[in-house]
Amino acid sequence: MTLYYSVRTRQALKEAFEQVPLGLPHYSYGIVCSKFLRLFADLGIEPTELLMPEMYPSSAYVNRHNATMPRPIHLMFKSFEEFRLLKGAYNLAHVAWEYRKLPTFDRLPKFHAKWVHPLNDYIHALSLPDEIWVGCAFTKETLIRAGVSNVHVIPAPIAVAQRSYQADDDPERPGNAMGPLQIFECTRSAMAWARSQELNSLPGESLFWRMDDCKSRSGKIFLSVFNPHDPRKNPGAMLAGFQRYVREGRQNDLLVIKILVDDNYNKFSDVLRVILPRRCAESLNSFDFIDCKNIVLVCGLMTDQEMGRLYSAADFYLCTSNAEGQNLPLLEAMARGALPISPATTAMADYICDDNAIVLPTTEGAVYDSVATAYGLQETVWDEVLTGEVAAGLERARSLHRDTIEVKRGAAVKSVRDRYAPEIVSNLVQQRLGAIELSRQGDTSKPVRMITSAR
Amino acid sequence: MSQIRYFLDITPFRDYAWTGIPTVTAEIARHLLERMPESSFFYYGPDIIRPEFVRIAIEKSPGGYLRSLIEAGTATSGSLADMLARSGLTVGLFPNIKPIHRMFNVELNIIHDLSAVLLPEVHTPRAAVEHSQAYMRDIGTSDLVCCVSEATRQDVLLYLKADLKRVFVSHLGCRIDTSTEAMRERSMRGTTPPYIVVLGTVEPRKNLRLIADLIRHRPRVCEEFAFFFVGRRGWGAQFEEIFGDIMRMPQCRDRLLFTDYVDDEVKKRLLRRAAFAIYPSLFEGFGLPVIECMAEGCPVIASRTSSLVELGLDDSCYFDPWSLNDFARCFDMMHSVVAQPTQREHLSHDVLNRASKFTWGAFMDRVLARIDEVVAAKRMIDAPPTTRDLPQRRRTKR
Repeated sequence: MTLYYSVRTRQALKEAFEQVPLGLPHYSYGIVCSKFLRLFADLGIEPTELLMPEMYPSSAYVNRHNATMPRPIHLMFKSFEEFRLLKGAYNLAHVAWEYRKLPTFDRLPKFHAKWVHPLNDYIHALSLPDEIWVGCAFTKETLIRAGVSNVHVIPAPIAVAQRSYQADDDPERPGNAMGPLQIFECTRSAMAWARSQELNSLPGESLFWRMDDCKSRSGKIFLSVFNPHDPRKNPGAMLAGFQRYVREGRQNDLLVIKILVDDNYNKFSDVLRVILPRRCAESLNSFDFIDCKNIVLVCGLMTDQEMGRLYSAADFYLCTSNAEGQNLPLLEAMARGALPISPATTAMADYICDDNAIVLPTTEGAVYDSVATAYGLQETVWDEVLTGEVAAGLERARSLHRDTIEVKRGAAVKSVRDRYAPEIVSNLVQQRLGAIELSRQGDTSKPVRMITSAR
Repeated sequence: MSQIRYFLDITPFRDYAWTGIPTVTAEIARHLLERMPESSFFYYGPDIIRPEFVRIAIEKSPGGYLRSLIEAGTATSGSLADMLARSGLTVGLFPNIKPIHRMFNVELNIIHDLSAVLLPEVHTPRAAVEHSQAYMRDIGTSDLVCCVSEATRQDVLLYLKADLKRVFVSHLGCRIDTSTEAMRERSMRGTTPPYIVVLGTVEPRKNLRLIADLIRHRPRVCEEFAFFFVGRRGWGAQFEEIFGDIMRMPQCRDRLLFTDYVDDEVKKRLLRRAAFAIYPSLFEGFGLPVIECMAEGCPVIASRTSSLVELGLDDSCYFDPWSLNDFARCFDMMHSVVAQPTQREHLSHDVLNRASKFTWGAFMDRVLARIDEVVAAKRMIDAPPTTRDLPQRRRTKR
């Protein structure tokens, strides 16, 4: 089987064909792709990357016009508007979609900004590949409801670390082994200071020192990882909810928010001054009352190993997202034994329940204006996590007996292992690839050849 | 039956330097003037343009000055609206983006490539958006969509959701100069100090960095060949930026020449004496520069991409534009061929022969044939049913 893949975003192509940098739109497709590449390597498959699959007149020309080559498979890890088919190949797209509706030109106003590219009509875009892979059942149902066919749930694999939820003596926990990572407190004075700065980076304490300090005072560490540009992540409820929780008596606990900022394409200071206040204002109306030194923001790129250590150090993982396509950071935290505090909606409905998590209740409401405007999703609703529920959920988590916590952590790890472990996803992938091969046997209607005659 | 009147949009003539699309427009205009002068009209914006001015502009190509004459009112002869008000069936020919819509009984739009949709990063952001929007709009208002290659047709069908029945392919053409002077010049290939021609506007899609990479790895090629980059300045990294470091290398100094825009005659003369040509483009709608090389008997190596494979070069003359190794292989192959006078002459005849299959006459014949089909269908629909027809249809149904 010949397998090609394409992942680079159009912006990344423009940047002199460099690696997909974090912070760019759709960078998570790059992360999903890297997980699948590791899985393919384990299967003994070595896919070849195509920078621009659209440039080939047919798949035969990718391989120097070798017309005897069997019809290859081309797997795209791209957002809908960036779909580019490899002609003559069996085109697969691995996509994420988190909302209940899909933008289509049939519903968009005629002068909407999306009318600049044919693939901004996502239903049209989804009709192009032969097959769609998605990360959760919610996305599959949404796509099928929109009339898209041949959709399969093949989530990104999540490696489950051994002994990941061991107690405080876990050798992987941060200490001297973890380098200093810059942190920034979410206090009013610090924010005001940040607003006056034009610096690319900001001074702050090191993360490991702060986490050790928290532990030494018998505090618990709550972790969250998200892209602050993304309105779905609902940071307003997270910050306000944790602040309320601390003010109600949990002054030793710490919320570590790892934000995906690379200080290159988006600056930490811009996130503090503009992005985070704007995102929070969508659910809170105001950001100015956030003033909590127990919330720290961490920026900077971290390796997989460093991220693993951060997950292991966390007692709880806090997710307040209103919509997810799979939610890789949550699953990675669960795999490392962090107990999730999360809603059980969209992708999380597949794996979050009372047995393995503290489930946050949600309230149905209209999607934020930024989402509705960006995608033309007016009159679309989602399940929103509210501030009060976050505070209550945190308190419920903190009040759990130690034994109950350990049971739930074990169940969380098991949930990931049962659904997302590489060997599980590997089976799903092999089943699909096998089915594709089978469906093509005897199929002579799609030979790998170029039609050059004029019509 | 009333006569069909053809209206050619000559907006592409607004460019002072005529390259791809103005060249195609000129060839359509030439065909209309030669074959159907009485029923052909040319318009630019709201104005009808006098045919004699169009004729002079295309014969003395590039006729970029025509724009000045139009704007001064010298070359105009009334309004398009008045001309359309007359009775008779009208056909609008749009060689590029349509400036007006649904003004003619039949509208034919030529799509050269979908690079603005598929590779927006190789265009300026504004151009990418404008062209992408225009394609989406134009497809919906055209009775016929002429794609200049099968690759473009497939892209139009896939990405623009165009109606299969309205989209067809008509490969562009070339002119082979059979004059004694042209033949004499072609026979001198290999007698002048050897040089390589690289045709095309300097823009990211043309992938000139691949040639720069080859020279960086093998600066000694400059001792054997000079490189002439023939084409106007475009956008993105320009010649000086791409080749700046190479021009400072001792072996390469004065061996790389950027001509900027040259007129057709100069270009042809350069091609007739060139050792060979290189066309490393990442994506093309047809590949007019390649067929221009072939029409002058100039051997050419080109990317194995998009429409270029439809031009019918020998397979060994294609290379992967992402692979320096494959390009070097192809370059070495061509180098060894042109070093042998007999093989060089054989190859020159071969590409000339292959180019002869692409003619402007054939291009226009295919276009006009499709228009005739649509016109006939429209007349059938528009014609009031005769009393004899209706019962017959009913009888057939029974």
